[in-house]
Amino acid sequence: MLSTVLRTVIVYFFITLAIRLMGKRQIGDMQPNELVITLLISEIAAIPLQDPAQPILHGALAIFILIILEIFISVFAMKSLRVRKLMSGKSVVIIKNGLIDEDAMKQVRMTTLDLIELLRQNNCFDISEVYFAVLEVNGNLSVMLKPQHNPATLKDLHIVPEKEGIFLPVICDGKILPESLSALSVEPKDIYNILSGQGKNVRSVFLMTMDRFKNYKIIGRRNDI
Amino acid sequence: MKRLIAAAILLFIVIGVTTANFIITEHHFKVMTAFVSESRDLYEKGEKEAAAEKAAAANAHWEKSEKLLAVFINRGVIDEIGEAVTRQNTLAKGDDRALFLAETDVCLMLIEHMHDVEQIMIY
Repeated sequence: MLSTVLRTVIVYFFITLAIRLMGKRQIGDMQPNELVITLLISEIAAIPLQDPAQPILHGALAIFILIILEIFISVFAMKSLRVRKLMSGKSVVIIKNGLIDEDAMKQVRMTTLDLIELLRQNNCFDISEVYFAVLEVNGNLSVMLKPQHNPATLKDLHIVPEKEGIFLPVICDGKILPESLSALSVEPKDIYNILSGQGKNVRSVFLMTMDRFKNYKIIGRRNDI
Repeated sequence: MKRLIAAAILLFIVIGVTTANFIITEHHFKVMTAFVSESRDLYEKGEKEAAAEKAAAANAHWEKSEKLLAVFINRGVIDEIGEAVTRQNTLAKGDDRALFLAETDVCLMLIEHMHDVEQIMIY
């Protein structure tokens, strides 16, 4: 029993290491070769867990080899277009200049209903509004609307936006996040000054966010509200 | 670049572990094959005491190396060889020649099978 527990813990760390080394991607964003490796890792990892007689080293080595392959292939794919096409395929233009390319749809085995569903997922409910639609290698559809159907931007309306920056969390659950402070070029004493001005301390703050213009929002802990 | 370094380190680990695996398995294969074969030869020459000694040495060597080999080889295979070596050791002290030789052959076959795992096969 203890052996199963230890094996599970070890395999958990191996898989976490594998996924971390593969990079942050969601299943839907994976390239075909990444998906294959993820499926293989899960299968291989299960073998030493299901069969206690099997040395855990076999599973670990197989996972390591998959990671090595994945990293080397992704490096080659980055340097060579041919390798990239071979491993991941290429994007296919489904709608070009507002016209559906039936041959392209046949090539990717996509039905009209599939296309309409993918368009809906892109908030496009009228196919006649689409100017370009490209099926990406990860299976997502990128859609470009005809100019007359594009939503108006502030530039179109000749509105100059107010200065705004990304709000980063500077205090989370009563703890200062040094990475955010350095990203915003803020000193901890500035935060203490703001908090003392409001009669609060760091521990009493649930969340404090700040942007690069020093605009901030503070949410106190539940019993402080 | 960091990932490439990580891949290189992993590759180094994989090569190191597989090489160690090959060397260790090969070593134990040779030692065990030598002990068991010598035991058979001595038994066939009628030197039963010497044959029993060699069989006991094989048994002792296997018991000692089991833990290390379990890192690389399936536990089931290790236990199977362990049982065969123990049986051969017991039979070496007896007079049943046919049974002893048969068990010795089984033992050698199992040891060779353990070694087979390290041969490159894609089937």
